[in-house]
Amino acid sequence: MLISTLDGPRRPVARTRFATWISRPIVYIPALILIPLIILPMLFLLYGTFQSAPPGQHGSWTGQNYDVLWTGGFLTLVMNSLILVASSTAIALVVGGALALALTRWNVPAARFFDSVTLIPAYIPAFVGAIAWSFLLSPTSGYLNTAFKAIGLPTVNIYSWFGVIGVTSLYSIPLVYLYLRPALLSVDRSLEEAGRMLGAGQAKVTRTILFPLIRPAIFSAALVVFVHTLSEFAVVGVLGVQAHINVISLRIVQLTTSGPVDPGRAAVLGVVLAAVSIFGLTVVVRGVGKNSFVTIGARHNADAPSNRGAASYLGLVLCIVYALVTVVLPVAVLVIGSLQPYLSTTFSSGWTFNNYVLMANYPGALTSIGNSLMLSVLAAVGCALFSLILAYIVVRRRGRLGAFVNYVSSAPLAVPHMVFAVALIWMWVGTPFGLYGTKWILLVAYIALLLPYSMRAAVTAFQQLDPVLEEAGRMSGASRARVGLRIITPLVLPGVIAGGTIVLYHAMQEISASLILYSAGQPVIPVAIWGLVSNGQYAQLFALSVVYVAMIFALVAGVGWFGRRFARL
Amino acid sequence: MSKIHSRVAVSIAAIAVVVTMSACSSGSSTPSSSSTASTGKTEGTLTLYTERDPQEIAPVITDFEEKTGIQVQVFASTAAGVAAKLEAEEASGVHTADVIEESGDTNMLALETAGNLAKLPKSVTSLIPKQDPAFTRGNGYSFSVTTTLVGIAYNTNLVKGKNIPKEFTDLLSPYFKGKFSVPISTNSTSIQSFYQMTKLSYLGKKYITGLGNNGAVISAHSGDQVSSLITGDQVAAITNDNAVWPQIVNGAPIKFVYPSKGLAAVNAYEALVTGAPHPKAAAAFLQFLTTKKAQQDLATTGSTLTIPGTPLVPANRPTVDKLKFFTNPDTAALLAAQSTMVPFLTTALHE
Repeated sequence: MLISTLDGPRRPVARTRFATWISRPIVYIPALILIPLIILPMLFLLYGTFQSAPPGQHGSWTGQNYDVLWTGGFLTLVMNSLILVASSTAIALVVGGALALALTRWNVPAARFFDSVTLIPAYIPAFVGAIAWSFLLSPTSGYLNTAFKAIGLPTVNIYSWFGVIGVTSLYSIPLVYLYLRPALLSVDRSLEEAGRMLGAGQAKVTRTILFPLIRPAIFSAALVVFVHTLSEFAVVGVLGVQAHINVISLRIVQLTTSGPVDPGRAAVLGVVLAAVSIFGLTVVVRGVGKNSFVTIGARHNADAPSNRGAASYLGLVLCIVYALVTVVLPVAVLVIGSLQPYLSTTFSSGWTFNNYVLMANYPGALTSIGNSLMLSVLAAVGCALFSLILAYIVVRRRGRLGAFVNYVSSAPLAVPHMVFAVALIWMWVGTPFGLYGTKWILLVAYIALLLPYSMRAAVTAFQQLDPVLEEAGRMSGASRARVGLRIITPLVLPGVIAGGTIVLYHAMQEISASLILYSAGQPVIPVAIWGLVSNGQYAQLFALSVVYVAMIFALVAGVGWFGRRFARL
Repeated sequence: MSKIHSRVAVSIAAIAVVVTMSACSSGSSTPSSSSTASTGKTEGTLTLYTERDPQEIAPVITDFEEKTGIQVQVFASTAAGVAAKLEAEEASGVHTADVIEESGDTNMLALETAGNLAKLPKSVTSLIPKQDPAFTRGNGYSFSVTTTLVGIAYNTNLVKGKNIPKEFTDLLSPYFKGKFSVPISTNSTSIQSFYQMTKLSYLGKKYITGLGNNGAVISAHSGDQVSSLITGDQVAAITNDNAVWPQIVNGAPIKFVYPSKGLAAVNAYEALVTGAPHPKAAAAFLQFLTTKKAQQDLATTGSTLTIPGTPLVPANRPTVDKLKFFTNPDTAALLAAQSTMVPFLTTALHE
């Protein structure tokens, strides 16, 4: 086939049947990898729901496990779960959206600094964050409540619905921010300027022009936060139990870790949550529909305004308040607690560095840090690269293959990690490939469980990319690979990196699957976290968390630098 | 080379370096079968599956390794996690673990029933001293060296004089209404200890119902209970000694009470895994656990020893020979009762 160029003779296109044929595996192989990665463990899970005994013990086929859906106060669990996730999602969307708007649109002073600070709450393991907040708002002697009493304000009881929803929301805001920020950055400002030139105010422009354009990102953020909160149990475990709040995810943990262990019924609840993930994705797909959300096109993006108005300072106030509430206060509690021999809110326990000494001497400390860093970085990179290809299939190829990839890659979003990990053990324990008994089975688990996070970010990024850019490249004679490398990848990179960042800090904090899958002698940091929580060694736990947060902050800062160097936006 | 090519090349090189470094440091930590001769001549390693916090067992491992030269690799997880991994491996004919440490009689019964545990060799059983029946299973599959005692803790700054609790029944006093915590019903330690209480004539189910009516605050972790005691959110708690004593040693204003009428003991058992790839090393480790050195090591990390004769830490902490315990429950009956205990506790304690 020959194409003509504007100022030259016709020349042959370097595109043959061979090129077409060889490009197909690039599409189908990543889709097929989803089978051993996600589909087979989910099938094991489904198989477990019909077994009368745990794996390894003699059992028979039964439907009895499904009675968990109408006994034991299941409806109450569902209601509580819905209240928690709906409230937390709404709060996280509003606050996270406002932060993303402020830092991308309102020319806030020190925006780059606040951009880094916004993510810090996500680095703190949920257990630890909830314990820190219990010391801030403990009804009798919490740091903040003591201050409130001193100035005559009413105290706040952290062991309440307010506490559970509030803390859960705080740790969901960074997720929303990470999804909305790259989407907002990709929107051409000239569209907003056109609206203002036609007489619309800033609020109307934001509501009628900006938000519709980033609708896929908003839907993705809402889906991820909703489903993630559904599977999150740590905050309820620390703050909700005293207030008689129980949710589905905590019930699953109770069924798999203590008391009368019941993996069959836990598997049923896990399958139910997976079904919720898929249903949520269906809502997102229909909400987005076949509309076009192209914001990355062939036009030059207008530069950000350099003058500061009222919105800039409003955004600054928002960022400062957010930083104080979600970063300064809990991190201060962690630092103070890490320097005490026992946690005390009256500073009566004295001060010591012994907790850091104990952490330095913790069995396998260096190995744990090395393994956690390596596996988390590899999981982040693996998910990012995998999502890049899979998202291309979902958005550009569409059809049945696209739908298959979209739904399968999102299915594990709400599946309890411990339940999924047991399924992975059963899949890999007897295989000759040497995965079992090595640290690489953890990497497989991280990628399978965390892929949904990076997928949503990558799909959103592709939805904003105008196909005409790819067509222009093809018409100019570039091969698909060259178009992918030189045109597509740089433009979707901010979104892909955002997804990779989410995977990175989730992998660093992942406890449930890590506790089951890590190999003897090859621990990861979450094993130490669990050990300290279960033994009530909270002062040491805080010392570990301070070091931990600093490590993740440094890692993510590095990722951010990488993203700024390579992004074209 | 264009800028984007060089950037991509640098990125790929960085990832390749990370993968190469990790590959060089990786390698299966599962001992290969060729080094697991049944004669044990090449048993230079041992794999321990444990429910303990790695810090708790670290001194024992260090001293064992120094004494024998056998390297110990540890897998530490929840009781259910250890059991799930072991059962999957055994069912698939993969033998990784040599020794297992697991707490709770029901967990041990499940492992025995599944055939995951081997009878202890005579070289080990001959070294186990006579113990209070509260700390033994008596079937030759395991023995205990440490236990978790469930008693009462209180804040010494807030509870004084005649209000200091001495027996479990003291928590029914109006003084403690809404100001004391109990562990959540789905905690296996709490199920066993509450089950034992229901079998006692002076406590029984009415006692547990009374706790609920007196405003017992439910707590998911013993660590939460202890930190609530220290901050004064609660003034007393039914909790375990292993969570309380380390904070007492650190100077926290709390005290642990051992009721004179008896308290519950949930033991941590040591057992040999069926098909252990290093049986001689496993036997050596189990033998070492019965020695004074190992007992001292466990005491320094805050454990309550079931073999009397070794002082605990701190020195004023009573040893088990000075205490009275609830009768050990019939394990099969306890296992069968779990499914009814949880709903009863949930209702009685208003969870």
